[in-house]
Amino acid sequence: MATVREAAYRWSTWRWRGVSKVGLVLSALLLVGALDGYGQAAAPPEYQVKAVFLFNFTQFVAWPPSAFPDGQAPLVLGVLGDDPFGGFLDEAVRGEVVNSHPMVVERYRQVEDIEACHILFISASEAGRLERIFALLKGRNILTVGDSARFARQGGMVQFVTERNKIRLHINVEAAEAAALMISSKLLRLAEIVTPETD
Amino acid sequence: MKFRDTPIQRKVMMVMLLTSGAVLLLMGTAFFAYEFLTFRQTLVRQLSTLGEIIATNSTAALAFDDREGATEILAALQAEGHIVGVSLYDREGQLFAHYPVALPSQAFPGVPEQEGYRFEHGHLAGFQPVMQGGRRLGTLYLKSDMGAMYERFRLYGRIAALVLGLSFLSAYLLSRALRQQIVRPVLALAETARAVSERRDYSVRAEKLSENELGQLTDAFNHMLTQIDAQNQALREGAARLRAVLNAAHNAVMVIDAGGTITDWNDRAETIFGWRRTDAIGRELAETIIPPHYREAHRRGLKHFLATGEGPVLNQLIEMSALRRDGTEFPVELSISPLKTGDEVTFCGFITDITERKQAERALKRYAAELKRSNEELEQFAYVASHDLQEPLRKVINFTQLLARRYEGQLDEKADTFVAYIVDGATRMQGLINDLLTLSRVGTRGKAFAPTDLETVLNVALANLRVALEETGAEVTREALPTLMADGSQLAQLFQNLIGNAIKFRSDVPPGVHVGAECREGAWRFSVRDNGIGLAPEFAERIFVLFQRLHSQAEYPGTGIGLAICKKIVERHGGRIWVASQPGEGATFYFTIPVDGGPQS
Repeated sequence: MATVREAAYRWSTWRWRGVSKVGLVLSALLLVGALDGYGQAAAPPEYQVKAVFLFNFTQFVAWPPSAFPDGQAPLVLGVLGDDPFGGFLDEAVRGEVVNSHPMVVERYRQVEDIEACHILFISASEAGRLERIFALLKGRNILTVGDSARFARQGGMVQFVTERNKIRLHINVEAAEAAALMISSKLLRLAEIVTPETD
Repeated sequence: MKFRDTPIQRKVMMVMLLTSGAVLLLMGTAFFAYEFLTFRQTLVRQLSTLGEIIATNSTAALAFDDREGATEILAALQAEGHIVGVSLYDREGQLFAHYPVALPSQAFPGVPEQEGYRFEHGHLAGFQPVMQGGRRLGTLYLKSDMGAMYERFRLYGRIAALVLGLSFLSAYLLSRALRQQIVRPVLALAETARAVSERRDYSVRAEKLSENELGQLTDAFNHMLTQIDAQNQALREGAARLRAVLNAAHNAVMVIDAGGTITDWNDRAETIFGWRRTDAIGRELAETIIPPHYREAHRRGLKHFLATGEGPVLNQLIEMSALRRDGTEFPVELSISPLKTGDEVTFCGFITDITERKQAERALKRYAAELKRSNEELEQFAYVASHDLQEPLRKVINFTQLLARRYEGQLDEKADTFVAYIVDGATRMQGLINDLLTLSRVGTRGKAFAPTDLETVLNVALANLRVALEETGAEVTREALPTLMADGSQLAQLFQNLIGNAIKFRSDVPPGVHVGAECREGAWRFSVRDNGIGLAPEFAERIFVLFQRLHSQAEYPGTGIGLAICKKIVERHGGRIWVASQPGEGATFYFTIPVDGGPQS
């Protein structure tokens, strides 16, 4: 039933996609402007949005039970490399509990530092080391998120792409499945699905 | 045609059709009401389910700020024809996306309102939260028209109309078959009833077709016919007897209805007025027997009575004139009595021809007037005569007395005796004339009645009699006397005459007179009792007649006028005088005077 409906929605979206482009852009600008009001001056406003998005992934991604040692184990949101968020990220997850897992933010200098981690934002500073990082993280249940160019095609799972001041998602479903992560079809529908490069 | 007057055949059918129609309508209404209520709930449930799906699907779009994606999701609702608008609000309550996109954002609520669905302005609309993993991401607004409900009700309406039509048809067919069972005996009864009323033949009997209520009705109808037959017979006999009574009456008897038309007329009326009963009935009474100058008053009186119930001339004897058929007018005495039978008013008139009585009355009146006139003339003559006689008589007496005095002893003895006779005769004649004058004055010179104290009156009478009383040593006793409307000087005369008589007709003992008075039955009765010689009862009437005397002039002098004057005075006062006596036992004279004064003649 649900799949039929989703199919119907998918089918119908084609007709509307082009209509409201201008409106979408305008409202995105408004949203960014609004968030700017309580953000911190240190980071650019788009990272304020990205911080919230990072938190929101917890709602649309399912980790296998083995990802948590026990029911109350923290859900770790890590940042690898230079932290572009300033205080936004800590702000976004402060006091949040997802499915009885309290959220915590951790920052890593290098990939070897990573222990228990569930969502990992790989900073643009690591762009040159991506291949190695992905190789090291292979088999671990970590949702990798980044905003460097071709991040998803290189093996990252979710890439923030800024198009005309709007942050869009590119998702590499294969990579996520390889990490035993289930990404909600609702999220997938919004995102552009990319496939890894086959070198 | 009113339903009341509809033939029973159609009525039975209409009743069946109306009953079945009413039942179906009622059930249909109940069904519709139930459907209306439950379907509204269903609509709410369906819409909120739909909203749930949309809300679930739009969480990611809200979470990742994808308005385009959200709009696509909302647009999926175009498949639901009845959704007229849907919008999505973010966590801050800002409008995030809406559909149809062509509608301006002002067409949607600016901010989310209370959650839940409501019917308003022919629409169902409401808000529900958008949740993901227990976190609220925004609010969804859905607005649906009621087309689904109306569509369903149109379908129900068509089905109901079809059922109603079919029910009517089957009820119609059923009633056609059934009505014969009910209607046929009723029609048979109605047919008999019509035959009875048309031919007035109450010997016909209706045929009984069944043993149910209709059979009982037939029995009752037949029984009624028997009773009517018997009652008719009794009525005919009663009417004949009444007619015989009416015709035996000495009066003309007639009955008119409220419109003044004659409805009955007895034999005597035929004789008196010359109209045959058959000719009179149906005519207006006013045009038949009432003289033209009374007609308007008669019609007005009739109308007035019917309008107000007042009839001053009703229920009493009145005299007027009536008209015979030949146009002659004659006096009648009539009484009119209104008869109320049910709501209808009729009038019964009893009329007597009083032509003869009227003639007799007129003759009597003429005779009485004649009598009065001659009586007055006679009294006047008596007065004038006696008055004028006094003068020459006084001359005779004076000169005779002069003759006797001057020439006494100069003539012979015989002449002296003759002169003495002349003086005596003339003096008696003077007394006679005085009494006659007094008598005639009672009628012609009487004074008007005034309140009169009889004590004073009696004192005056006794003063006039003082000499006679003293000479005879008479003793007068008296009771208290009243004050009356009377002529005082005449009553003094009355007492004087009666007491004078009592003294005159005394026996050997000194006279004793008692004056009494008592009031009984509206009149005072006075009595003057003496201890004189009395008189025999057979003379009790005679003594009051003018010039009638029981004794010779030598025994008791007198003119024979005194008691006649008494009688005349008492009668002028409206009373009566009589005497009760036995010879040698004294006499008691009684007279009465009415308390109210009596007639002033």
